[in-house]
Amino acid sequence: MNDLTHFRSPLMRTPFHARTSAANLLNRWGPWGGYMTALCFGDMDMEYTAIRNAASVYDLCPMVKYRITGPDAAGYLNRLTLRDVARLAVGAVQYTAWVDDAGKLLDDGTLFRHGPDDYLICCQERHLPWLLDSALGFDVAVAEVTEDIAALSLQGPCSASALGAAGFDVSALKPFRMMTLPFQGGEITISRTGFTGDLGYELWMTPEQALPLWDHLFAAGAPFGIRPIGSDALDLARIEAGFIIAGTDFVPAHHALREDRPRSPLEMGLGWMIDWEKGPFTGRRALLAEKANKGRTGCCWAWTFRAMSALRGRSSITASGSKRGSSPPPPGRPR
Amino acid sequence: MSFDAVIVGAGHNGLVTACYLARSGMKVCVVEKNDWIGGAAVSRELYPGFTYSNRSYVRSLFRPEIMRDLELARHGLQILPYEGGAVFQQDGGYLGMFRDHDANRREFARHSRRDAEAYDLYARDILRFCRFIRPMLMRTPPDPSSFRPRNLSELLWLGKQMGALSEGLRARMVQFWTMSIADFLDEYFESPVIKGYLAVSAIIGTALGPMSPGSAYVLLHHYMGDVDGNVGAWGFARGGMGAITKALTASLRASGGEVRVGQGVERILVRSGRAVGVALANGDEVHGARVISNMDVKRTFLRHVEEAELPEEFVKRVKAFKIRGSSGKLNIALDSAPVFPALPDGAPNIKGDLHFTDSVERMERGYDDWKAGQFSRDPFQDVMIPTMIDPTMTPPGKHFMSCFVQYAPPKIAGREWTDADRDAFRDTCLDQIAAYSPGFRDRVLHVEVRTPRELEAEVGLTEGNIFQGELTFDQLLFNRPVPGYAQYRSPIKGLWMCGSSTHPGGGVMGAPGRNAAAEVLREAGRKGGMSDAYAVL
Repeated sequence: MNDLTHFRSPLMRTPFHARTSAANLLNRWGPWGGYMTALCFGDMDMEYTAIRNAASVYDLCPMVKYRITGPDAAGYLNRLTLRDVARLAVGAVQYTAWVDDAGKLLDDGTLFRHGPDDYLICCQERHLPWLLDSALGFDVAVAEVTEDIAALSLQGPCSASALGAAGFDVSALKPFRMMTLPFQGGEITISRTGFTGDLGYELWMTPEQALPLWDHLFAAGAPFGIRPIGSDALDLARIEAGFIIAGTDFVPAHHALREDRPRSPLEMGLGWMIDWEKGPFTGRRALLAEKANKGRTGCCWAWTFRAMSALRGRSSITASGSKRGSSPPPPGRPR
Repeated sequence: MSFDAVIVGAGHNGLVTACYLARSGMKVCVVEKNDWIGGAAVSRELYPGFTYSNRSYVRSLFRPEIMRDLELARHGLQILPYEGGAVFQQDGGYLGMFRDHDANRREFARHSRRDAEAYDLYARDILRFCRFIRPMLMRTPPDPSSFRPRNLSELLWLGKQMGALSEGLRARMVQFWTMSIADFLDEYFESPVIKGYLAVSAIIGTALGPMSPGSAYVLLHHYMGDVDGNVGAWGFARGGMGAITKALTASLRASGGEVRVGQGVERILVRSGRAVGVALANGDEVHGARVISNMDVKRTFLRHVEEAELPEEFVKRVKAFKIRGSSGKLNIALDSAPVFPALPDGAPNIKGDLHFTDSVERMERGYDDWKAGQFSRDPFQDVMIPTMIDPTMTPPGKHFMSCFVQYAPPKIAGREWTDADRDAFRDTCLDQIAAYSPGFRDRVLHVEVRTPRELEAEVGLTEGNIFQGELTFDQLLFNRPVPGYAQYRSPIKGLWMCGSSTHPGGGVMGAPGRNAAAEVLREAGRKGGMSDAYAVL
């Protein structure tokens, strides 16, 4: 990065670009987080079908990543996020969210605990100033490492078998757990996480490992119908699963021009993740007040939002309280 | 022959007022002292084949409602957005600007990763302030000391706007209106060059340094415009800034209005406390039922109206109105495109605003010279080459360069500018550019240099202040230009103001002219085909 030619390539290429561009028969690309992302490789219906029927591969590199290290890392993250980080074991993953002082969502994402004092946040939005400011008084280091880590999402009922065929035995891996496995003299990390609601894994590696791993995985996965998918197919699957995206399903507080646009986790059906008892965390007071007031505003907002979402044909946010919510009929699902 | 309205000064605001009045059916005459039309939005050919933007040089604030009402597109006005921009650093590096959000983030990250991600939050806050302030541009400020129903309802409206904000944002905004841009930027950014770039909008046209309280609001004034709804964006008028006043003149003539050039107003004629016309320098008189002055408030009332006709307190306030000149301008005809080796080959940054001041501190040091009555030895320059985007201004391959320079005091150490001062000022600016662009001086065909002395003598801007009065909070809204006279009226019946000395202030915005016309029409019980302001945020 940081070559002086942004004007020649305003969108960056992920470490997988050599393979994704070769596979992108339609040459359909869209921007995501400053990267060129495949929207569809050849046939969205078949890509969706690979997610639900076989094994699909999605290039996750543009996901924003922050590494949190230091003796106070757990305490810092407990203060920053909604869930109880103390309960997150080494080698485990948490789906979580964080809010501003007014209790409005900044983003949701996954939190990986790689070591006792070593965490990785993966999310949609960029928050470096917020993460640094929140570190006041904590002995932690916060680093933006998006470009240092390459990642693939392997999702679908055959994903475990494809990994097995590639020599990665993940049969013992439980949901929201991760393990480190050897690969060509180095190591990669595989977590049982995903954004499709199906059986699936995410593979984390260095940018140098990206292309060898891609080739290895596709060779081993061929008998299982492995195929690369674009964001369009993934969008169908994640909406079915009821997963939300910052900037699409809610306006992150740091981007909201209108003050009434940001949403609280209670309004977004994420109330279940708030650990009220874990001690102080950013936004707690505002969220407590909102909870006490919920009958009046919360439901009303969630209802309005739900109605709007339904009209737009997106999202599956339910009125506050329910965990993930039941899904509305998926839009544009393959016939 | 007597007109319904005589407008003094064919600047953009005077022409906007004239257009609206003419459209309502009034007989309108604009009188202009120069041989050319346009005031400070003017394009003249000072070197064969080269059209300049002699004074104002970029456009964002000019209200789109006015462009539509007056059919300026039909009369030839076209606004071109521009891309790029860069600050050259003393160590040979640079900070580039890109229209693409992610390319820009990556460029900022080269200087600070934190700042790259802080920019979104900064942009959100500034846009929130813009969203609050924009609806006020096209409204007559209420008079808080009056109980007339319209004043009360406008005050109520203002209160409602304030009330719609959260307590936090309200406090933040009041802070922003009164603090310095240096302090404001420190809350978001750490990189000196990024802060140096962003502070620019807070000092342009203002006799304040980036560390002076009140400078932050000036930044907002430069951010609240738009190009085709893209708020904060700036663009060029195709064919130079004179294209705006040219289109206004064509629109005025199409509705039967008249412009007389070459004879300035000597005196505004007042009979029995009522303005009845103007006496020109050649002795001619132009009579009208009302006189509307596009000149600044000081020039209008201290030089062209008998002091005896005015209340003492009013005169005192007009004298106290701050209108300190702070800037100069170089207009350069270039034989070929300048080269800036710091930029990579083919970089689009050269098509935007180019600066050489890579920190807020350097900018403040430039202001220190101004305080001492000198022009800055290390000036801030806002350099633009509109011909990079608009090929109509010069012969092919040639370029026009506009350099806005700050700081330049109205007087050099208390005495008038001399030609020698002007030449020294020119050389200081050219040397600065040449330090970053080898061979620059060899490309120069012609330079027009304008110090506050020329701005006052030619455009008529008192002390050479480009905003007809500083945009500090004590001189805004119902305090602009004088408390009790913010509604475009003056103590003399029939004498109105429509220039940038009035709300909402300077820049090629047209809003003062439009608001003044609205007041005149309201009082006359006419309609002028004026559409309401609309919101894009």
